[in-house]
Amino acid sequence: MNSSNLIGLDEIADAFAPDHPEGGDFPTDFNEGVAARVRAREEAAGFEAGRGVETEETFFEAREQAVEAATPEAAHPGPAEALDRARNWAPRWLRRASAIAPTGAIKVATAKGAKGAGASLTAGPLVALAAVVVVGSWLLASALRLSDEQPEKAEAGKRSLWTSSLSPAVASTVLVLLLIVLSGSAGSHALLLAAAGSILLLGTLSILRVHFGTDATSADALATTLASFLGQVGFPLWIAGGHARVGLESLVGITVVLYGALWLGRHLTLEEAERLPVVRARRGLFLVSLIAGSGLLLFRYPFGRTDDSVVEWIASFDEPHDELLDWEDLQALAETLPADALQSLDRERLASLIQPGLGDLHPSVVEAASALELVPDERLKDDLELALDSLERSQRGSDLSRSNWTPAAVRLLVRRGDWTPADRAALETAMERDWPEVDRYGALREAEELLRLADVAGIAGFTARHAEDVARLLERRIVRCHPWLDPVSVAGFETEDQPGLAVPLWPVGRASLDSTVAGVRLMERLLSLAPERYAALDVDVAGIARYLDGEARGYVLMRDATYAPRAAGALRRLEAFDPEGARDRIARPLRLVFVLGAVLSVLLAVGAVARAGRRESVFSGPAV
Amino acid sequence: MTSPSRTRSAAPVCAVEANDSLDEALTRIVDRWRGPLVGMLRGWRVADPVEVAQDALAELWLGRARFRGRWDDEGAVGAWLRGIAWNLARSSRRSAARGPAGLDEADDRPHAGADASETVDQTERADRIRAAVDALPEDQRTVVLMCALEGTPSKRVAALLGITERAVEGRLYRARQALTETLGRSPERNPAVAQS
Repeated sequence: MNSSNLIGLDEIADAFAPDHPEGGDFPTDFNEGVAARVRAREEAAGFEAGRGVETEETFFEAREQAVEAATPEAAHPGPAEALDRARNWAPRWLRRASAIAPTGAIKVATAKGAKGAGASLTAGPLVALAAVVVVGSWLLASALRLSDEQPEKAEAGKRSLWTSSLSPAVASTVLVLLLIVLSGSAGSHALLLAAAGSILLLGTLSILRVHFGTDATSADALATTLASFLGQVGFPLWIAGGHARVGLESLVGITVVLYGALWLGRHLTLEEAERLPVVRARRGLFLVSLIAGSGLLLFRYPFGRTDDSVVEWIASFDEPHDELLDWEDLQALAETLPADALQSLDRERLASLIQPGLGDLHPSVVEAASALELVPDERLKDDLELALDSLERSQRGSDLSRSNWTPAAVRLLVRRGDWTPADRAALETAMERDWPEVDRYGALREAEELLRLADVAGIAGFTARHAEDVARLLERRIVRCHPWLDPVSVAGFETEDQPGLAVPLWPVGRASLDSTVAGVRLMERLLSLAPERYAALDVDVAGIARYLDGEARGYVLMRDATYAPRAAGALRRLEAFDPEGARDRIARPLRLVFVLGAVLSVLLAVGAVARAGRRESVFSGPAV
Repeated sequence: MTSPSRTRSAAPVCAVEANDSLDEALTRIVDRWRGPLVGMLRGWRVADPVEVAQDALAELWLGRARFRGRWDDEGAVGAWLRGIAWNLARSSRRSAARGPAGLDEADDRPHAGADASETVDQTERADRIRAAVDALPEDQRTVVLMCALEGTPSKRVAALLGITERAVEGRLYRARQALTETLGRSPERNPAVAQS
């Protein structure tokens, strides 16, 4: 159907014009109504009569006081807290830059900044960041160029080579900075991959062409190749997007290892045979230990790995009631705990955190807190009455609005013993009606919410009836995980209305994470309902796990911005039902890379020793 | 004006315009969110969407001290406003007399702009459109009402609903498709619309 033949929005607006206040201009009347309400409320709250609005100075002070009153721990926030809070709202590229740089090097502006959070990357930190990248690129370029020369020539022209590496270093710096800035947009990471891949290919070919097969430095050429490989591929990737996937500690560790490897590789390449073999052997072993150590860093357990770590985190949870995301994350993580650990939680303390703001709770917080039994029944009466009201209307002929039926309301009814078969039937009808089409945007999350509601409401058979739909939903989305660009397809949830549209390679948005979490829950259900159907999907569990693992590790680096608890909760679920161990599958390819690296390094060390020994026998003959 | 107080207050009040006074900032916020908010509340079948929308925006303004996002971030403001609106809608429904709260409920009110020259056909057509919109699935109904009232761009509708812009456009297209089919099948189809 041609869109020009469709009914116009103007006509729809006209049809609903009677809803506007009688007579007059709707926008003007509406705005006056809002202003009148504001005035009335302000006067009722003790504002000076007739003043209208407070002065700007007073307003700002009042705002700060109100924030302090609402969040006691925010009264005198330390630098770290202020930074984290601001990071929540900073643009992605700035969060990444501030995360990569040493602590405090880049300060994300707080609300007191002239343009709000996230707008001020000041000149000093920018220069510092640029300097870091310049030095790094300089080292890489020098190593690459030096390796492209015969050792003797390189030694002779060492100074000039280092000097001449400055231009490519600057160019690389500009490229890396540009990529960091662009990293919030779709496709920038593809560009990054292409750039890094090209550099790797050219560098490797050039090194191999010059050195490989010569009698002098074949082992050294391999060393340089390996170091270049790691440096050229790994460094830019980790810089631009890796922090959310490997964590700060690993990032620092790997960077040190890479630079160390380059330094050693350069010396191995340039050193003459008069060096003692034992020195080379020691350096080779040092290289091995560095690489192995970086591997251990990579496999460090991410946040939320064990029940104890989850319980410990919940015990330290002290966010106020209006931190929406944190409370949802808390619930998502807590529900993965076994019953005994769940019972051991200090609910009184959590309830005391959330209950001061019961009147203002966001619906999602109500649900999260209700699931943890932190909300008193009185607070849930609102939900209950709304649900019952909707039910009553449905009995008079209207459709039951499923959106009025929150799990919290149903849970309360069930607990009170007021949940009747008629209620169940009415809700089931509404849920069947609202079951999403597989191709619809958000279908995955909607389906998962409905299934959860069915569980709470005790609607038997609902999940089983929709098992095939669940399989199709997963087939359409989750299965599309690419083995190397793993999160790409997960992010495809955001483009369901436009199949085939390009999506970011490294999504860090909440929408993609929520969809993935919902997908994991659906996978869990399908596996229990129809294992053979689940097996037929051949879901890329490792791809999903890698994505969640990266988000969970992000907790180390950016606690507020990465939704790590929710990701960790989903990862725990994944591990619980994946017999092969999702986390092991994540680690396998990485482990393989580092094992290969270690083996190569050992070979290098042995080769260097052997070669040095031969040369010594040649050159160190009779001294006199 | 570049005094410290002006510079200092501009960001937290509202970043719509740096030099806004408080009144101007409030007006800008209301202008920005009025249409989609009323439409969303209608989509939720709130009995008196205009009243509730005014309450919600007043609540947003009065509670601005608790808002920790940036005022020029429509996604953040939209999420905050949605939560407020949801709570108010729930309260409104609870306090309202129990009865059908569909979109037709406003039929009894006088029609703004209605006059003696308004033809019966036009009124019937409007009634049928309202009925057809009322029959749409909730997600489509909400989007079409949010976009229609004041021609709100889909980006802002998406921000208020917490979904993507493309999803809004998709829902809107499907809703208009369904409405056209529903209304087109009727024998009293309005020729003017059929030609458009």
